[in-house]
Amino acid sequence: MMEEIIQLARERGCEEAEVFVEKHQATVVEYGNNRLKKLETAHSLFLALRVKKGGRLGFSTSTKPNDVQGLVERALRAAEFGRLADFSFAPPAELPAVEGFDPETAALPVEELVARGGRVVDGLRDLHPALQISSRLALISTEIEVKTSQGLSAAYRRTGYSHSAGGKLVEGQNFLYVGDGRHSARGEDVTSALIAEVRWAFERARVNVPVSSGRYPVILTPRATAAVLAPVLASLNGQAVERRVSPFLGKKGQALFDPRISLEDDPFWPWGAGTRPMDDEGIPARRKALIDKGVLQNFLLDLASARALGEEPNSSARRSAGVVTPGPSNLIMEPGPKSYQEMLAAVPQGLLIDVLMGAWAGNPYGGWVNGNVMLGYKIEDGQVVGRIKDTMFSVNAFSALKDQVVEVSRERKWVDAAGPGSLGGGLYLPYLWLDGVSISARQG
Amino acid sequence: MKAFLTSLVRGKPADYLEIRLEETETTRVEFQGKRLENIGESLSYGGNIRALVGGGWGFVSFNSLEGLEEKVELAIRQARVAAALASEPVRLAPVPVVEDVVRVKPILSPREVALERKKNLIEGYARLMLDYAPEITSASVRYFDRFTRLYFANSEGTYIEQEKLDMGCNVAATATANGLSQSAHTGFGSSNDFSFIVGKEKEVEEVCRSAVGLLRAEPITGGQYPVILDPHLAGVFIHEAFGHLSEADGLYEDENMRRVMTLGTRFGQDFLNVYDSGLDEGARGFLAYDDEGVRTQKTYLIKDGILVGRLHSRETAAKMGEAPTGNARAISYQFPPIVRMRNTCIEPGPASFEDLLRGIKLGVYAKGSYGGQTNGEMFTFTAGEAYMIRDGQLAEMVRDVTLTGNVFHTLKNIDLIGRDFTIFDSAGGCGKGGQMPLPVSHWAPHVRIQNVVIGGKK
Repeated sequence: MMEEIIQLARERGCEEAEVFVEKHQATVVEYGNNRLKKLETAHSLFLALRVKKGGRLGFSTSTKPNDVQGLVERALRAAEFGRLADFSFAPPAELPAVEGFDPETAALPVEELVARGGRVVDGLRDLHPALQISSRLALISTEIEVKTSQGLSAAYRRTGYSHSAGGKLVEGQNFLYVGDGRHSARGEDVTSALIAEVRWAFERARVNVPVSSGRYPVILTPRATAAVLAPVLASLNGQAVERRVSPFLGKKGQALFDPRISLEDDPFWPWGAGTRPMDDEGIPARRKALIDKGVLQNFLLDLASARALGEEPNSSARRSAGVVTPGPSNLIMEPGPKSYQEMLAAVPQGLLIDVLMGAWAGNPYGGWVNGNVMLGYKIEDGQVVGRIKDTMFSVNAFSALKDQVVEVSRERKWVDAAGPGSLGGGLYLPYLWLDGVSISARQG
Repeated sequence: MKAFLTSLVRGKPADYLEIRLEETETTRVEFQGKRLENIGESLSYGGNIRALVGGGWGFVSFNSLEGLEEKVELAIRQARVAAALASEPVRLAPVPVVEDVVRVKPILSPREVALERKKNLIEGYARLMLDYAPEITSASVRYFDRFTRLYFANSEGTYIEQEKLDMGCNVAATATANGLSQSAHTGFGSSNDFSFIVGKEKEVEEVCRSAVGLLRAEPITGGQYPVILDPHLAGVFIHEAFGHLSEADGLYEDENMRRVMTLGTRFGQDFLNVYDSGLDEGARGFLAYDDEGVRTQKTYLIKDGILVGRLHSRETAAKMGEAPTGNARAISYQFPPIVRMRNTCIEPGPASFEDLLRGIKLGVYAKGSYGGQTNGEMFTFTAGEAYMIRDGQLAEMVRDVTLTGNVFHTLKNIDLIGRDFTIFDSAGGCGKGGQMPLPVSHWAPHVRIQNVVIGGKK
């Protein structure tokens, strides 16, 4: 069918054509309110076509099987007005081998997923009689294929496994949510680790402790680190640089951050949540330093932004509803020397921040990360003593990652990249200790 | 289609079975500055089958209509697996069996407007922004329209064909000076008139004025303030702060939550009235039937400050012994329906803008929205633009204003409601349970709230 689409586009006068096909097969098991609620199966097909006609780009997508004619007609209509495309679609290439498809994971029976979710419920039930336990397991097999009129014909398969577990407890007008999740290309059973994490959080967050407004040393968990890195990631996006909204424009080679901050995009990371042998435009995977010891090295570039900035594309294209935007495959942050426990023990008076709510809203290029502390704790003499509530966390990511870094942990975790403002891909991040973070609390 | 779909769901070994088919045509036009970044038309085509057996649900989604009988069997098989572990059966609240065909009756349909005209309109706004001031370094205008045909049949005999229309346009400007970069944005939306995007020059210039103004604004000092929300932000506020809490799937199986949300509980002062409605034509939250084939309605949530209602699916309504409200919605055929809002509104009060300002020694006037989030108890939302209020007067502009609050305190802290109820739709959408963006609306007047926590440097 892909050949047919390219053939038809050529017959209709297109200079170039590119077809992207994504096929999913997903199984989802959902436990809610302490019981198995739902089993889901999804078979999906997604087709995206880009053409170049008269030097202009045309674009169309479809989920209808065999919608060859419709797809080409719509792309041609768009090409009448489309942007001038001064780049060519991907040429033929050899794809590197990566560890991203696990046949055993693809073959995991639904009964096994049901059993794992059941163990979560059983493993948390004794925490509190009114605890509402939930767990979600998703197993996805994906086939991606890109063909271009330039002669590229490349395809790969990948597996994805995610397991989340959590609990909600309402006591009077006090709501407590605790939960964690794991994401990988491999379906290893992480039930015990998840149960342990949820239990740890629940036991420490049962007691609310007061906190007053002020500046605090703060340890961010890996998912809170992700929230603070969001403005940095948005600014590394080649499209934002091309549009001149990124504050990193023209700053390659400059030391923008603390030397302990290093970020790279590594599509080769074995069994990473975003591991892939090529990007969504068919450019073979490439590992690239984004920030090296605080110095800005590279932007994330797709074909169009690379061309506009006079650089080589670096295999960072992602598709969201078919539209290509740059984003990381596996965003990996360099670890530090100290363990998370050592960091915690060294804080005399501070906060541990785990989940920020609404921190994604606002203008990312200004750097401000303002979020309600949905789950956070007070640290006293190196001990977590209870939960803090009704507080706002505020940092400017650009200045905090330059001047307020105290320590980066040895441990790292895969963080779910889903959610508003997400760039997709996997994030593998450490705990991060920042000094002097502004906290605004409710009085009285 | 009717005979085909009905035959698939009738007489099968399931307590309840439904099938939904959907065909959606989407047009997008996006300008980045003077450049047309993206223009294209897309087709989304697919369906799903949902089966209830005992206490378990099975759900199968697909693109291909081949082998639908097997897909029905798969959904039933899955529901049985879930049912084997269920502690109690699921009941669905009874609703009238319906046969209906719902066509959209737009004032001006986007389907009758040529792609070129859409492009020219959007391009015009992008150019207007770039020409507004030298500080404007980036202008982004993103337009979409979406036309959907839905076919729904269930094992109780309901069969509905329904058309839906949804349109939106987001406008964002970035201003840059001395290495500082600030953005402002607005959005428009409609479900029945392409003209929603015509003649918006004033609003677009307002966005530019705001972005340039923010360059000179200082970040707000964090703390607790009395706050006046403009109608746009007040809408987002009621959606986040109370709408989500009213969704019965968050409480129907949780005894403690049900106690918190007992009908008759006081949530606000006696002039606070809040409702959610599917009946407002033109609103993006307008909806004839929900995705369980239930007629929508206007549902009061708070009347005279007292909790009087909530939003239901058939499952949550049955469990709580209440009536379904037509709030079971899915963003597409790839998802099962869950309890969602439609058009969530605060009714107007008596106050003029001057009344709202009066008596505020040090406060904040917050306008427009960058979005928000809630966990039921606490919520947060970010203002698009904000000004300090000093001694009852609007004063200097401030930036990076994110407000947070606790539902149970904040609603009671609403001490004055404006009389300027504003019909306004944005281009954004609501996200829940991985389903985003769902078209919703929130109409409101100006609202004044005491003791709101705002983040920021000390």
